[in-house]
Amino acid sequence: MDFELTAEQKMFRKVVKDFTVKNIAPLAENADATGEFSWEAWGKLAELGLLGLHYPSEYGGQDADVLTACLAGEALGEGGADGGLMLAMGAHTYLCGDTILRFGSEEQKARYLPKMASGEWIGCLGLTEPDAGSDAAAIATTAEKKNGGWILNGTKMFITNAPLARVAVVFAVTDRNAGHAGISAFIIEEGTPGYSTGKKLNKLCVRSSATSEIILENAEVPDENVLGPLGAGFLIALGALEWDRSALLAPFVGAVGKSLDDCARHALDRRQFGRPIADFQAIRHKLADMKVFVEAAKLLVYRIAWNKDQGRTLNHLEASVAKHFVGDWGMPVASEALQIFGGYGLMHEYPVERMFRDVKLAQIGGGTSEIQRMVISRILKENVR
Amino acid sequence: MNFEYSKEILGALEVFAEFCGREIAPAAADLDRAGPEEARRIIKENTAKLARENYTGINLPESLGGGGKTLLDSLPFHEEVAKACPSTFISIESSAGLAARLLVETGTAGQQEEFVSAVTSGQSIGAWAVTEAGAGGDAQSIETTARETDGGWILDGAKKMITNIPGADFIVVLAKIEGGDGDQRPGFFLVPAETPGLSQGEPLETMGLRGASLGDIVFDACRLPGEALLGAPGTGTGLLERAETEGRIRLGALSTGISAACLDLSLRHALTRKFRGKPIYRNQEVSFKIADMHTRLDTSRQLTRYAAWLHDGGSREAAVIASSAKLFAGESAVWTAHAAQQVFGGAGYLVSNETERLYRDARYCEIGQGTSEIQRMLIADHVLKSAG
Repeated sequence: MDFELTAEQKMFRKVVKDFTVKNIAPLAENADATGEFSWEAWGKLAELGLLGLHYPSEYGGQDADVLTACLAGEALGEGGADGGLMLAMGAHTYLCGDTILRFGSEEQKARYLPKMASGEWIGCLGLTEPDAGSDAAAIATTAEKKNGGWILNGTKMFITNAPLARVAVVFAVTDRNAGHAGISAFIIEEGTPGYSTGKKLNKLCVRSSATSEIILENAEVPDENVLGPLGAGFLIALGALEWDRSALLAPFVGAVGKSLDDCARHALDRRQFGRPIADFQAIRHKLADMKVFVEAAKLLVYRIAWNKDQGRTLNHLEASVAKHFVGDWGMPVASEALQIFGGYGLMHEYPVERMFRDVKLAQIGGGTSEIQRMVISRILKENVR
Repeated sequence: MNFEYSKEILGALEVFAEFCGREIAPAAADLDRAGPEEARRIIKENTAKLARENYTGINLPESLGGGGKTLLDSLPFHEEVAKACPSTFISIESSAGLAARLLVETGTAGQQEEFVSAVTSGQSIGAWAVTEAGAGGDAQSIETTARETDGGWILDGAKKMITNIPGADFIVVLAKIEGGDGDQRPGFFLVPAETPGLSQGEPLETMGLRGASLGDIVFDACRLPGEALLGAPGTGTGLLERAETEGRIRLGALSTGISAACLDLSLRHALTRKFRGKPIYRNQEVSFKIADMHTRLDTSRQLTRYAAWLHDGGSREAAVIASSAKLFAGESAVWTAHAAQQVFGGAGYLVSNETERLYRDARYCEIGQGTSEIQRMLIADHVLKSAG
């Protein structure tokens, strides 16, 4: 057992954090307030190589390992990037791009990944539906075989990046009688007849990421756009979970870490009753709880990444623990962080206010905390000897 | 990074866990209810048994009969003992983890041969005496004094609530060394049980960890040889901080042991106990509680291991992470024991139920080696210092 990061990993984390502080954090407040996707910030992510960080260099990536991808997410959060930007990056690079990287044909990879790594094309992943979220087997979108291709019908809900996406990976039922094995994955490009997206949704948090429905009305998808083997859709979707529980969780931890620093500095500066509020234990002890959360959450997230870097399949128990902890322990800590700022904490111009809203996503996105506890309790039961 | 223990450790752990379940756990309930003398007998017996398994001195050097394991590698073994019998764990922690460990760091070869080897072989039990009536979390306020006399020391003062008292074979004591200039520097002293002027008080009644005795000590002009001072004068504070960090990390293991025991009991009960014809585990009120227990336990273990790794590597971050681990694991142990009693319902309220004892034992985890409040103080100090 060894918790040491390599010198390279530590250096990269610092580079990303410093770059974020200087180039991305100044864009965060406006992006969040307007709810507009920031192409400028997106360009900065591309400049740093974060949009295809772990892709092989032949596709414009940097061959990074998963742990490094986590550290980059954490550093973006620590540097002050807004949650919307970080979610957009996660959905694009990991949920959509990595799915193509793992299951795509040579042609598919060559066509999509370089443009995604450069940020020119934005990707999204369409799994969730009005009546199917964590219960992926319940999806209703269908794909029917037709000469030379497939006809897709259905609606996907709450799809991050959908309004901007040039490329969407979408899951549909190709064999209604085969259950999990009857789901397949398709790549759909913007402009495909029958493919459209709904109106951009106005959200509580991660506001600068663009979210909408994907609407498929007799969308015509050619055979060469089937992603991976037919019927492998469920497994393909599960693969995205590994990223959801690692590189997509890390930004939340980084954001709380930034708030911890901000809170400590505010507590030292802000004076009441003739002394800094950092002198009051009621404030100090909130800082202590934040610190414990940040240290613990990092370990849980790194462990998922390390496991994936060993080439192992996802440990669902550990993954759910990480997600559960970041969400359910992160939210109270985020609330106390805002509390330290008092009235200022309620103002949009204070990053802690945005962090407080953004962390709420950790309890909901990619499987609610309740789903995580369902998974944990199911596995604990199965493990009883 | 590497989040896994080696195959050797895991293999040895499996054998050790089986041993603890067979040899230590069955006596835990009797130990909890035993009178002082019977309790001391069981603790001695457990300590000797565990010494034969090479556990008692697990963190002490092999040259003195110990296990020579790093703190990180020893944690799962500590957890198994704590899971089987928290009282036995805390007795050995005070004796081997704190008292003998300091002798290894600072004692003469003769002291180590005499006292440390007797601990690792399970023949002798030591005590760690820091707390006083007016000094717990703040060691600077201690009033026990050591006065230098011709070639030796005279110790005066009193210690409060010391584990393994009465019955300790030797005591490692923190005292203030009175300098000629009125300067007072803390230092540790070795006091063998037979020292004239030393008296070990009657056992105090405690809520939990009742199997380990806890008592007061009085030093009335105890005359000690010059070599009784452990480490150079003035090094007491540093030695104490190091010992506290290590002690807190091992209390993390005590906490995860108690939590693991509670989780196991709750899960098995919830899967068999029926309500309206179905196992109560079918109710999310129950299964989600148990999921929360697991998340807390897993997280506590990670934090504790991280702290141990930092400590083994001599990192300056070790102290704040040790406090974090102890705080989170300790509060989680109490939360988990409480939740376990809820899972058992009325049965958990009975003294005959294991969760009843574990709940009382768990309370120590929020109190011993610095309360949760003290840990928050220390962590916040660190955070503010880093920001300032």
